[in-house]
Amino acid sequence: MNQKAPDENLYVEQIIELPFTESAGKYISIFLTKIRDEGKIVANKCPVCHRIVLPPRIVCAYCKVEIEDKPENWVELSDKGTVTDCMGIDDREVDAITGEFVGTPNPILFIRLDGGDEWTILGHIAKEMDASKYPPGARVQAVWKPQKERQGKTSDIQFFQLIKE
Amino acid sequence: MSERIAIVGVGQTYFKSRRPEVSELEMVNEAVMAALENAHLTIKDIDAVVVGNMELFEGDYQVDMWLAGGSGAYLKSGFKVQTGGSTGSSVCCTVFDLAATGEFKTILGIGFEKQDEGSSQASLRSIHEDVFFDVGSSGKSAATAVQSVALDMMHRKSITEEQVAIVRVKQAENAMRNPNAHLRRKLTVEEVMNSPKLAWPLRVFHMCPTSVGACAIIVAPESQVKKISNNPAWVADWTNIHGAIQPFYGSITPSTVSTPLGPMWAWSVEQAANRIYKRNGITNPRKELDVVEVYDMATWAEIEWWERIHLCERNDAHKLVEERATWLDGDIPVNPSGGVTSTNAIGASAMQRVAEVAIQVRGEGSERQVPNVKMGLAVTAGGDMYSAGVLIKKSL
Amino acid sequence: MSRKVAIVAVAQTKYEASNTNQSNSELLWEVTKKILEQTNLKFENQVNSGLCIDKIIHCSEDFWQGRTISDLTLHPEMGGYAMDVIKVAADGTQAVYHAAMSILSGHHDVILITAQRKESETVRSSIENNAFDPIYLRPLGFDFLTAAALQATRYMHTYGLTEEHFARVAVKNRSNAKNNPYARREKAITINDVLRSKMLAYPIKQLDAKPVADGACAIVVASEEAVKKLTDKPVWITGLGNCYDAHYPGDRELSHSEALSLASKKAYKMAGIKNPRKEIDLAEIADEYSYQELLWTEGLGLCDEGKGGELIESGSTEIDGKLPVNTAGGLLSGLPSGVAGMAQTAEAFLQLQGNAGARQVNGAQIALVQGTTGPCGQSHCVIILNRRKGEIL
Repeated sequence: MNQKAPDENLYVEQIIELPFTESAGKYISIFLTKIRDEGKIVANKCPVCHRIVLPPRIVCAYCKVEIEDKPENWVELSDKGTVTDCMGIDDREVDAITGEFVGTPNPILFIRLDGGDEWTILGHIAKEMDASKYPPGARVQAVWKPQKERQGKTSDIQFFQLIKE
Repeated sequence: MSERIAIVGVGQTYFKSRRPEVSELEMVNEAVMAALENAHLTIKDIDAVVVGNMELFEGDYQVDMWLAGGSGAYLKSGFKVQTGGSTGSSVCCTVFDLAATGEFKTILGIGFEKQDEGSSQASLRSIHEDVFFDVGSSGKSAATAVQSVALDMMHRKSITEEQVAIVRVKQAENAMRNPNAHLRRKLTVEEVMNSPKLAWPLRVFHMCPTSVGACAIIVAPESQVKKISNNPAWVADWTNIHGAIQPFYGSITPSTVSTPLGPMWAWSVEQAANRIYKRNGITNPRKELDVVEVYDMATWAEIEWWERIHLCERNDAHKLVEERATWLDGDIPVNPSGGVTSTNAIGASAMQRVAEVAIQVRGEGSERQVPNVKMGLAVTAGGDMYSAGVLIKKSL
Repeated sequence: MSRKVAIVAVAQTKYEASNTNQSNSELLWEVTKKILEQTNLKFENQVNSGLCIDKIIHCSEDFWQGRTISDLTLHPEMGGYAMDVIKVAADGTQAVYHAAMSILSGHHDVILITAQRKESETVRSSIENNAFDPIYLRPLGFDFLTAAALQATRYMHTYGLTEEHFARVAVKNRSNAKNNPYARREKAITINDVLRSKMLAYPIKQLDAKPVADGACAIVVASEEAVKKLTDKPVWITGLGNCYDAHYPGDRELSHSEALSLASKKAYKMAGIKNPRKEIDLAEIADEYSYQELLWTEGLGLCDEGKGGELIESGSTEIDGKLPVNTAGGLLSGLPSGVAGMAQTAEAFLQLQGNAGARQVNGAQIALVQGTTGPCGQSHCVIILNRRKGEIL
């Protein structure tokens, strides 16, 4: 029996919710605890190639060896640094379900923190909206939330602002 | 017993923004039927089916299970692989390995995406938003990845904005000759240069679309090729290389940042090409290759890849534009298919690079056929910094 | 000359109910590190030529990691930089299958296979529901438990098996686990304990079901040439087979595993096994739910169809029986899905090497590993391991 295909396209709608509780593990826990409790940014150092790895990791991706949790492998970084890349967001993303903007409109900064090496880069946001104010080479410093507001996330730093040196 | 292998069939659907009139299963089946027809085979002749898809995009866990009825996998061997943007080429490499064992008569590889069914933005946020690193990760990660490469290219004077627009027009011209491509509209340089800014110097018209569609290839070992095909595309070599020195834990955006090795995402493309050249004695790719397909998530990326795969010296991409070398009628046509900039159904895209080179080697490119193709290279890329290189020849 | 492939090393973490000490990446590094220490292997980008790991196959799934490209955050911990890396999104047996095939293709010589999963970090049913067709099946609220319950009921109806038969499987496997240093520490259980445990979905009760587990496993496979340089106790992969069934449970006879039957036949043929019941010395079978061990044993041809109940009553699959099944405790003792097939392959390897300690099956020469992916065992993968080199056809 031949039937005419229906004129409308039917749908089944679904919203998928996947709840996760992700463990930070030892190395990230150390990193975030230092941020929350001491307002300090720490990295670790590969014993073979001596790269300073941020965020700290149990293994050096390059050498494929363990970076042991020993005092000599931890490095405290400054919260000042030099901009390597700045990316302005001209087109903000919208959440498919809530319709609200996602994240912040601030330009994204990649910062080589003092005390690190060429691999030590932290991603964060700029204080001002004008990305052209943060060319590569610009000097910036973290602006921290007050300690009682810190939760152990990188948002414990509000943003990075330009500094004169 | 290790055998040489060839692609004996290629099939694709039409690529569009939305295909509300078909289910995923029906859409995949279209590509499978097209590949079977192209190979003059039936599903009975297929022994194994390998599927690639970024399943979180459509919200289908273990999607190869649901698709078993439409992919042809029912009562056959197979499994699912996935490597992000390069998924399609990873499927190809898996199929190539399986075929080379000689254990199977023919193997079908399928790459597809039906992003109109889900929220790809939500899925992408699952990678560029990190639980612990909850700042500095918003925005479209693919666009910012390309942006950093584009800024670098301008800084090195590889290319001008106007030249990028000229290349974009080339991509559109090629796509118009490809009936399966998604964006098929004549563009002018002015239109491209005036299109809205996405993440400067990246503009909307430079960026790939979100496409829906499927691609399939059929591969056979030499002992079977004789029986099946009088027009095989021999796969001379294939490799994958991963660029994972990510400074960050989860967010993909920082991994595209300038590390001392450059953006790792571009680094892996260069490594894949180098390895193929080294293993196959290719010292002058521009002369020795007849056609190339690269994974250009934006026009800027296509141009960067020209340098990275050594079609010209570093910083000299502009010469290839001035000489129109990479045009369809140039001496080293790149992306006769129109590239990813014209069609991007993520699970299929990397496979389409391989498929198009096979199409060209087999002389099935019709309006976009490059003359006298004896050897072609497909190099893919994609989050997360996997790149594949596949070398295909008319005869081994 | 035909290629051959063997397993040369394995590593596992302890499988735990909830591992909050390690992140996913730290968990994965534990097994990669163990492998590197055992084998002294370097990665291809670290050597100019000669013996090295030349491919990495990682086994994980986006839904379980909560991110698209599930291994995105894990590459350093598998040694991924500058390597040929691919990800298999299925049970661990499929990753082993892929690796073995890649070696047999002649395209690779030494492959590191890794798998990790922390099931405790999420909720299984919220993930598993999405494995079903979104139009007809998903809205019914299926997850793998309820689908399995459907299959178990069908199995019982067709052949008259009982809940008690299934309970015996759980008791056996939990008892075997006590000698597995990697298994969760749980007290022994009795048939009554199983029968009285909380009903989850008839006939599957709490103790009939695989508990949530966190853990990781790594395996190295190598070509014949490379094997000589790596170990004097290789275990050869002589048979491989996998197969898909139909997706819709209504299109299948759930009490008969057609796909498994076909997969096992491929594996037996390749391994030159004519009489599996006689030739196989031990089997690792995917027992995510207790009835499955019996159903898959039938599908493998290791006993007649419908005779799974008699099989478990006979005691021949006990650790001291004719054909021990799940000597390390199986999935029922706590293995994360995905990792499970790798863990069971690792156990078969240790058994054939003679390194299974207190759970050693004496004189074991040939082992079978079976894993499954998809609802109600929609797809199966079968691997035959042999202490002796076979002839790959």
